[in-house]
Amino acid sequence: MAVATGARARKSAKPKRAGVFSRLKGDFANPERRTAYYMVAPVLLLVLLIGLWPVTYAIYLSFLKILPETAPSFVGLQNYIDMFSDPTFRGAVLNTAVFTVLSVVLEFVFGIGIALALNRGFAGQGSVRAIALVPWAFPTVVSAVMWRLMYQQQGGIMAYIALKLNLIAGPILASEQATLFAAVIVDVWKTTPFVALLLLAGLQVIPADTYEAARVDGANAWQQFSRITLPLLKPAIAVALLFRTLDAWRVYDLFWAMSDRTLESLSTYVFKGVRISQVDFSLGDAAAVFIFLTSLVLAFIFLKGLGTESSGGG
Amino acid sequence: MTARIGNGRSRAVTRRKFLKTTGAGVAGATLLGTGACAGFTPSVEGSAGTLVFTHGPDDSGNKTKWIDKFNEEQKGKIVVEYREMPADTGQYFDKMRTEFQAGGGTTDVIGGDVIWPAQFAANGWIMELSEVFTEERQADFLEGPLASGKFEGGIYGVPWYADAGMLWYRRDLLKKSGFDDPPETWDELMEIAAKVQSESGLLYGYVGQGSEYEGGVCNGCEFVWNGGGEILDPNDPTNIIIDSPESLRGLEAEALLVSEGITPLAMATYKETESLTAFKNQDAVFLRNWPYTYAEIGDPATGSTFDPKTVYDQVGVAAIPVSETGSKSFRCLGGWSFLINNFSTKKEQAWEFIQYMTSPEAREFFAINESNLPPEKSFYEDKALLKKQPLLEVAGAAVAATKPRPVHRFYSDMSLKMAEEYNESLKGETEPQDAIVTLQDQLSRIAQTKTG
Repeated sequence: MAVATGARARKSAKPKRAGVFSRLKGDFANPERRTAYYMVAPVLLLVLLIGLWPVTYAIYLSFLKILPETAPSFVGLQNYIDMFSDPTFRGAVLNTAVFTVLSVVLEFVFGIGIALALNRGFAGQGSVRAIALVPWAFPTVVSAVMWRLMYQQQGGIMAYIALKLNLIAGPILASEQATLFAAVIVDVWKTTPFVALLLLAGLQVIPADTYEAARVDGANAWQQFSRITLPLLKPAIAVALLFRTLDAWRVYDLFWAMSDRTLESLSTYVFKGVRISQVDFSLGDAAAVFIFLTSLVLAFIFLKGLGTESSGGG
Repeated sequence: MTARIGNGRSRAVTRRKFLKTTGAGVAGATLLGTGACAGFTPSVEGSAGTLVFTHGPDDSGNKTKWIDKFNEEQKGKIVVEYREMPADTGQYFDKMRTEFQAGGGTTDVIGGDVIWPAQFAANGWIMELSEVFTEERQADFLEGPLASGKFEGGIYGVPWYADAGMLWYRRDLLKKSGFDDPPETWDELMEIAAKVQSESGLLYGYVGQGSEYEGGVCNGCEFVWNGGGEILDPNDPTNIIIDSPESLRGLEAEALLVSEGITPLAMATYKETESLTAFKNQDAVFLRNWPYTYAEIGDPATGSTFDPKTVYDQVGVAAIPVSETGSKSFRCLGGWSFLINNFSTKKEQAWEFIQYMTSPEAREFFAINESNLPPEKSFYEDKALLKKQPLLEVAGAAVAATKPRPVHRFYSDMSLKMAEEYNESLKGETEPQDAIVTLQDQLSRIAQTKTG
C-alpha cells in the first residue's frame, strides 16, 4: 500500500516538473502571458534582491574571518567550529531551547483550553475575547520592563510571592535559571491569547454537523475532541505552533529588556558579536546563519509533520 | 595655530576598507550597510563655519550656555553646533562607531567616554594631538585621565572631566559602634559592617554595582587592582596577566562580602541607581559610587532620607579598601575626554574649541555648576574654588588615585567578558578562581587578535 502510494507520487512528480518548463515555453509563446511575466519580473527581482541576496551574503560572510584593519580571509567552517566551542554560545542555545520548548508547550495547552472555552456561545463572548487579547497587545519591551519591576527584589510583588511560597531563596533576577523561568512566565502570559485566537479561528470553521453526527453515533465528549476537533484543528495548530516556535527561537527583546541585558539567547549572541564586539563579528554572523538554518528546519518539520496533509488536500 | 590637518590616511572609504574596518553590518542589514556606504564621501554638514560637537544630553542647559558664549565671542568665524547623543555610553559609542565605519560622519569634536580613545585611535578615526597637546601642556593633568587618552605612544584625548570610584560610609554609625576611622582593608570593612549592621539595624553592610554591565566592570576591576592584581600588562598590550594570586584575592574579597551576608545577593542586579537608593534610604553602611553621590544625598528631592543640614557630617568618604594593609588603593576612572574626528575638515577650529572648553574659566564654571571634577591637579589646591565647590575637596584624593580600565583597541570585547565573569563570580555561580582562569583565557584571545 505504502509502496504503491510512493510510486504514484514519484510518477506524478516527474511529469509535473517537465510540465513547468513546457508551460513556461507555452506561456512565452502567448504575447499576453508574456507581458504578464514581464510585469511580474521587477517584483520577483526585488524579492530575490531583498530576500535571497542578504541571506546568501550572510552565509558567504560566515566563511570569512573578518577583523578590523585586516583583509577578510577564507576560513571555511572555522567560524562554526569556534562558535560551537564557545561556552557562551552553548549557553545561549540551551537558554533558547529551554525557553522555546517550555513557552510553546504551555502556551499551546493554555491556548487550546481558552479557545475551547471561547468557542462555546455565551453572553459577552465578544468582550471576553477582546479582554483576553490585552496582554498580547502590549509591546514586548513594555511588558518585559513591567514584569522586571514585579520580579525585582526591592518591592517587586512576584519576588515577594516567590519568597513567601519558598520557591526561591535569593533574588529572582540574580539567578540565571530563575530569570529564564521568569521569562517563560512573561511570554506565556503575553502570547497565550494570540495562540488561543489562532486556534479559535480554526475551531470556528469546523462544521457543527460533524459533532451532530458523532453524537448520533454515540461518541462521548472526549471522543469528539480527539477524533473530530483535534484532527480538523490540525492546520490551525500547525500555524500556531510554527509561529510561536519560530518567534520563541529568535527571542531577543523579552530577554534583554527583562534581564537588563544579562540573559543570553541566540539573537542576543548575534547582536553582541555583530554590533558590540570588534573581534567576534564572524562568530555573530555564523550564529545568525545558524538561527536561519535551524528556523528553516523547524518550519519544515511543522509543515511536513502537521500541516501538509490537510492543506495539500484543500 | 598650526595643527597639522590629517595624518595621510585616505579619507575615501572603499568597500574593501569598509569590510576590513568594520566587519560589515548585521547579517540582515548588510544590504543596507553596504548600500549606504558605497560611494559615500565624508562631508561636513552645514555652512563653512559650523563645528559639530557631540556629547550626551545637556539636562541642565549649562553646556549649551557655555557653548553659546563661545559662539558669541567667535561670531563670524566659528559656530559650534551641539549635537546631543544618547545618555547611555554604549549606545553613544555604537552610534559613533557606525558613523566612522560609514566614512567619517559629520562630527568634528567628540565629547567621548574615557574608554574610547584607544578603540577609535586604533582605526585611525581620531586625530593624534601631541603637536598641539604638548607634554608641557599635559604636565598639570592627573595621571589616570591622561593615560586613558594615550595609545601606542600617541595622545588622542584631552581630558574634560573625571569620575572616580569612591567609598561613601556612615561616619555617624561607625562612631556609634566605636570606630573612629573608615576601613583600610576588606577584612576591616567586613568586621565594621557586621558590627554596625547589627548595632544600628541596617539591612546591608556594603553595596556597589554588580550587574553585568560597564559599571560592574568598574567595580570588578577595582577588586582586582586593590587585591594587587593587574589585567593588562602595561608594557605589552597583547599580554594578559589577570591570572595571579593577587587578582584572585581581590575577586574572593568581593565574593566573600556576598557569602558573608555583608552585601545582598541582589547586588548582582544593581546599577548605580539601585545601590545609591539603598544608601539614600539609610539601608547601607558602605556604598561604592561615583562623586555625584555627594549632591544626591544632600537633596531630599532625589529621594534622600538624610537631613540636608547634617548629612555631610553623617556621611564620610574614604579610599576603596585594599586586600593587604599598606598597599595602594586604586579607583576606577570614569569621565569624558575631547577627541577630534580625523575626517574633520576643521581641525584647527576644533582645537580652538577644545582649548576654550578646557580653559581655567571653563573648568571652574563646570566644576561649580555641573559638579564636574577637573582633570588637572592645580584646581584641587585652589582654596577659593574648593570653598565654592566642596566636592572637589571631598573627591580630590579619589581623582588623584584613578586608574583607567584596560586601554586597548578591543576594550569593548574585553568589557563584555569581564562583565560576565565578574557578575558570575559575585553571584557565586562561578568560583573566583574559575572566573580568573576563564578571563585569562578569553581576554588573551582578544588581546592577541592579529590585525593589519
